[in-house]
Amino acid sequence: MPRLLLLLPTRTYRTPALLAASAGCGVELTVASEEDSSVAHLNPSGFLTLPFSDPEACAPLVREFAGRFPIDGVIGIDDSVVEAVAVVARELGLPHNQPDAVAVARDKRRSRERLVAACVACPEFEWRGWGDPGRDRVPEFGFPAVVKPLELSASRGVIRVDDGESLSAAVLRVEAIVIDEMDSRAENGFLIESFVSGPEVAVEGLLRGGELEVLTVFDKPDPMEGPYFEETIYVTPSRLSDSQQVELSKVSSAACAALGLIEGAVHIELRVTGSGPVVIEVNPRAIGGLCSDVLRFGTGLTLEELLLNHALGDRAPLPDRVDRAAGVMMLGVEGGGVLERVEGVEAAEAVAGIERVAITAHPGQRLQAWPEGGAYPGFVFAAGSTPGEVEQSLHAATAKLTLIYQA
Amino acid sequence: MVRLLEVKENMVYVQMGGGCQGCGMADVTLKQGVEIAIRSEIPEVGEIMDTTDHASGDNPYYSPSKK
Repeated sequence: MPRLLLLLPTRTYRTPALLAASAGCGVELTVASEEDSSVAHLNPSGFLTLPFSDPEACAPLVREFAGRFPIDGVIGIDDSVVEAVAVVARELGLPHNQPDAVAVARDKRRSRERLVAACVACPEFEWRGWGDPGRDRVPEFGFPAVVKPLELSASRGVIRVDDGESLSAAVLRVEAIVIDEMDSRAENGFLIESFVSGPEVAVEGLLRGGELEVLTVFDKPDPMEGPYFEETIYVTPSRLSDSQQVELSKVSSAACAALGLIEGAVHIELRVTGSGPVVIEVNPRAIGGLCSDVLRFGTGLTLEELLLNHALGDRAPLPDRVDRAAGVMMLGVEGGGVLERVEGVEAAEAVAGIERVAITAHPGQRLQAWPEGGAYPGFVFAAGSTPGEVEQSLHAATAKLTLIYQA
Repeated sequence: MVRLLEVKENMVYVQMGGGCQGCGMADVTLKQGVEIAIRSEIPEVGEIMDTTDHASGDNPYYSPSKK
């Protein structure tokens, strides 16, 4: 039986989906995490501890482990492990992206530079150091613009600005968010980008030998005009025209090639404009949170099963996405605070088309609104006969949910 | 800490406490560790069910994740 090495950070939503996928694929599983497991002695081939934050340091540890328990595939789909996955795959001679390509893709500044050099449409941008005296000067491309820190994800610290005054305020605010997150002022600086108007979409894809296969295109039907950019709804299939979707696929492929990504899952965010798609971000990983639950392929394969099969070398033609409209709502935190409970879950689940409501925040958890926050307290899943129907179900169900915070 | 609650026919019901309750890796601990140890001693055992209310753990690992 082949052995799969699964890199799983302790702070993830993905454990049940990945373990279920592993069980379905008939593999011997080794779970690598950044913390020692207290039950590792019960199953020495089943656990490995790896320092995900120092990817190169994972290499000798994996080499030694694989000498005792040969590994046939490696996978990790959380943002914090993708660089370690690339190093481990290189070490084991398994097909994957080169670590440098993954590092570039995760670096907002370097990835923008690569996209520009390859003539892939992306926002105009200027990099500023936190210590620059003119860090809040008006960008050459003018307003509206977006201030974006380099270190954070999930739209944390991303703020739209429309004039010099709001730019100065946003830079101060983003600096405070970065300091709070990193415990010191980071050296990386931040980007100011031109704000690209137009509907936002996400392309979920799988790279195989440098070829991008689009698994699905998600529409994000709620307007994302700022000033903050937390997600709400993802719905598939996309309501864009066939020709627009072909363009999305072409631009996404070009973006992956520009960054040197050739193998594995990609989650690409784009804006659709009158002059074609504009790449906002290319993530060398699958869609996050619980959102992958929306997708089923062929006879009911999950996205995780598809990705595990790919990691184990399966290069058979990919099954089509199951032909149904489906979507997910990422719940907002409203005012934020210390969560006491969530009311209305039963009523939300009773709304026509709703498949389930998953509350992932726990009582006592402190939730912050964007841009300081970055955690969705839960997810609502729906299916229906059309994307419009799914969208309506998601809005109706979400309206029945209330987050109650401690006084 | 993992507590055996009940064995009904060949189904095993356990509850996880301490740092396991609410931990994002609780499933891994159960399936990769506890379950393998039980099955190596008692191969005929059926499903092993975790009955823990992980949402009320004191120190859950669940935390921000990218969309």
